[in-house]
Amino acid sequence: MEFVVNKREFVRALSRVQSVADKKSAMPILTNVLIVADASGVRLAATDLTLAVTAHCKADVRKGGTVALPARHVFDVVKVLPDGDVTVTVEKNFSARIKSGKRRFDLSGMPGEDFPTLPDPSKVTLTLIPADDVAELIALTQFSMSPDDTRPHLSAALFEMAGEVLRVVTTDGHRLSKAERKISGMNAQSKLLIPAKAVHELKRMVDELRAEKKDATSGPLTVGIGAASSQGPVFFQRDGMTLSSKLVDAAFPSYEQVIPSATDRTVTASRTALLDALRAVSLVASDRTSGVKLQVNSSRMLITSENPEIGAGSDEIDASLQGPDVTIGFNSKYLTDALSALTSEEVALELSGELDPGMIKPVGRDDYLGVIMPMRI
Amino acid sequence: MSSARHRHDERSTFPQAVTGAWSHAFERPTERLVGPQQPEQQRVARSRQRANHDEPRPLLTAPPYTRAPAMTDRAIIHVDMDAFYASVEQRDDPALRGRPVIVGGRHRGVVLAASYEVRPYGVRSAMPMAQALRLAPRDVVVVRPRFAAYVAASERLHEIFAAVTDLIEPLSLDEAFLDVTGSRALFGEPDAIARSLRQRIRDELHLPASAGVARVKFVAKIGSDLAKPDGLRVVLPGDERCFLAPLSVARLWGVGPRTHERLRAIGLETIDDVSRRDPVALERDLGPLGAHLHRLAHGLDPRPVTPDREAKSIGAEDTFGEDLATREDLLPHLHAQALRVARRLRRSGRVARGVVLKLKTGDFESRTRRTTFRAATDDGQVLYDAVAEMLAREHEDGRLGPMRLTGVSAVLLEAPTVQPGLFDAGARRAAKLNGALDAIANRFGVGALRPADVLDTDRETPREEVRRRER
Repeated sequence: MEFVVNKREFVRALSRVQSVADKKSAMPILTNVLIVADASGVRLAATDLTLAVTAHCKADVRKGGTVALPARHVFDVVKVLPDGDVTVTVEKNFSARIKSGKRRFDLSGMPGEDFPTLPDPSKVTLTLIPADDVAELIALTQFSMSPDDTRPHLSAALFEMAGEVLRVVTTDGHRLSKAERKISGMNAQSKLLIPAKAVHELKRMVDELRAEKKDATSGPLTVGIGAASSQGPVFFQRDGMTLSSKLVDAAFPSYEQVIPSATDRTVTASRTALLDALRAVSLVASDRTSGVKLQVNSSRMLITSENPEIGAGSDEIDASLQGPDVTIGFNSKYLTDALSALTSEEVALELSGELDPGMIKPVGRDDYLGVIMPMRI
Repeated sequence: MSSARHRHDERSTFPQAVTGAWSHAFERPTERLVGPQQPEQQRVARSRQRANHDEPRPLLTAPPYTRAPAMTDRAIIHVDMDAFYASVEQRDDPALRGRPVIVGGRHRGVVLAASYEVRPYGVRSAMPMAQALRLAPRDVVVVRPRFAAYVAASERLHEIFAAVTDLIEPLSLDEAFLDVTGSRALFGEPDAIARSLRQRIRDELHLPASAGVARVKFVAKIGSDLAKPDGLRVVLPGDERCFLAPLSVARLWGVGPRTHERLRAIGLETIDDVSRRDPVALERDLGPLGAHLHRLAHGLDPRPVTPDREAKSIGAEDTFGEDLATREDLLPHLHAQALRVARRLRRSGRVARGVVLKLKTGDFESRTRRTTFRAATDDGQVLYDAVAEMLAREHEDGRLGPMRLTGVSAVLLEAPTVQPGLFDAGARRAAKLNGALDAIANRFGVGALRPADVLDTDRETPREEVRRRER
């Protein structure tokens, strides 16, 4: 196998796949990046068996072939090569020589045939969705995925496609985020529970796509999304790159049930003022609970936090309240995560009793809804 | 420090002059005083007793309190009900009063409790029923246990304890240590508190109780043992050694049959023998246990009274009158035990992250099984579901024989979370329900409302009911 490739293109392709390789896997082949050279160029792939990614880059392929090289090392050495053409040659013993200018590395690899077969998107119908919408939906919801991967149904995001609406819902058991966008021309019906790691990789994909195309005018800023079947895998595709993931084989909680249908009180405040006050006051909150207390009357919101080990803090902001005065406790992080993901000028907190779930919504938009369980104070 | 000097020191630190004496003269024949009595104290005590006579609530008559007691002045009461199950049966069925009564299973069973009328014949609890029936007189009555009645009495007992201190360490349904060190300001000297507790138990529960009062736990426990039946034994601070001296070494905490044998082999029969032994020699002969026994023999026992809210685990267990073989027989008992444990959890303001099932077979083979929860709980139904599942797994193994005892313990205890979950609606409903059930139990007694299967644990067969009515 032998090919010549532009260094920057090679680094970009490697960076798209190397983060998916499972560097701690008990299966040595999974710590590798698969490299396939054929008439169409060079294809790179990595997988941890849940998630798989392939990236394509243009190359002058002199001799086709395939090899698996250690993901971290190949990325590290290619990054430090001089700019320009990189020549990669692989001998029969799967040792790869990677060379640019006078700098040269030999990496020992494994046969490409040992690499697991990756899911094939060619027969799957993909729905095209604007990259901006995907990026925003993820930004509004990813913070409330559970970090606990022993609870796979919560360490995931539910992608619901219902006609023209794409909805993403996440919950860690204490709070829930639901964001939706109308995708004109879309007509799909599906529910896909996508593992957190795949959501993070999808976010990387769309963020990179948006950054690249910001100043360019060519090419549509869309991502193709589709599943082979209701059991998965699901595919996300952009030009030159395909991400695929198994779906979580567990039921997402019936989230509609925990969204309050009506509340007794609505508090409206400036999003940035509330965010700023919460960030400040929570500096003295307990690390474990991050608890803050909100006391709201018809015109003011008093935000306080107390921690016997540190001290206390408070701040007051303008707010308007419909309904009786209220005192309620929250984990400040649950509020600040949502407030910093939102972009609206004002936000509304819809509350009932001090132990009933509260809602957070942007004022003037109905495409985001957060549900937060209060804390006992 | 010589033991004589030691003793003198401890006496002098005890605030006799300030709080009056712990040592009143006792007029009831069953109340015995150990240690020197001073005429002054007797006089004070008599006059106080007379005064108490006119007071409807003797607990509230206390001498003026002028000094906080030091840690060395701990006052501990050990309360132990006399022949508890048998006494409850005699209380609830007048026909049984004054008659020899054995509580337990009639067939292949063991004696769970023997009334004082049947004890002179040599009948003891834990004895096989067949042997007990050979020893017992012809008019003996064997009664099946009614655990719910004992639990109800136990709850009332706890309320009486809780009126004088919150430092209550329950050892079983009918036995507890109370640290009343901080209660003296309100309720008087420890012996007065003990007397008043026994009186309230007699008046409100109509049951006999014995109590021991001492500065340390194990002396208080021996005190109540020696006071039985229906007595009070007070060991004054400083008198522990002289109180313990004549007793058998077998009474020392930590001495089982094997250690007893070893102590005898080196010539130690009484606690006095142990206390006079050179501690270095004792440690050489018995290892760390030697040093421990030497301290105990001198009346030193540093163990504090540990209330449920500080305990590492909260458990309930019952020995059955006869071995129970089937899961259908065992489950109602586990349910009742789980509910008891959960109620104590709620009372102590804590939640459990795990539950342990304890099983003991008829031939005394013990095994325990543990489950941990993702979300800590104080709900009896959650505890019960977990132990029932563990029992089912034991049955699947096919190794489950007839059981003599089951127990349920809440473990990995912690403070309730301040952050409830969004999807805990079930747990929130359970918490509301438990709150309501607790309120009903507090007002009408713990047996007022019970799950139907738990009712079965006390069910009499129609024949038994007839037999009871005929008595």
